[in-house]
Amino acid sequence: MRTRVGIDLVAIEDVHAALDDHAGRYVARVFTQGEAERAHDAGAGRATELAGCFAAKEAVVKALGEEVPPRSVELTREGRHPGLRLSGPAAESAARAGLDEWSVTIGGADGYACAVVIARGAS
Amino acid sequence: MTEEIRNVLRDHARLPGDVDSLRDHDDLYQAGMTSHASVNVMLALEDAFDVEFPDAMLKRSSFESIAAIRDVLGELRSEAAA
Repeated sequence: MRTRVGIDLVAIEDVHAALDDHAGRYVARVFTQGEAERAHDAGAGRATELAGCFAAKEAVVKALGEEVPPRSVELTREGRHPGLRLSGPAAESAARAGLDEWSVTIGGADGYACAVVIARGAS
Repeated sequence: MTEEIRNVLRDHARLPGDVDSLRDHDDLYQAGMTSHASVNVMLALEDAFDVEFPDAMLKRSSFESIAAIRDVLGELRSEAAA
């Protein structure tokens, strides 16, 4: 069994800055429609939600060991548990690496959002 | 172009040190630029130079140094002029 791990930390103030300076273009370029809608529904927690999404994307890149476009990695929310949906270049990269089981957890404190990703596949 | 790139980095890269002290090939991530800050830089570069980075260029290496940014912008401008 092959296992890869990725982690990333994002300063929520950086997300605020991106929203202030570039708003719709920032969201459209980096996040999927589902992520954007969930963040919009979070109201005052929008930047925190986006920071968690971004951290998850970067954590996946580290687990893959290969850069992929940000919107090819989607953070999903299935009830209380976050999940990952890889598509296009991210899915292709995961297939090449033999990684087909993905787990993610999101946390945060003191102005930061954090994501940890574990990817597994047959050796 | 290089001075404008330095202006963008000064305003958006959230580097702890003086941007003017960076050499063109110094690693910006080692200098303190985070992965999210590189997104802020990317969007600001698009505004400053009236270009759009395609998905294929949204990678760490495109923004790893002033020289790398200059090369990518040059490539985008050449494609736009063609």
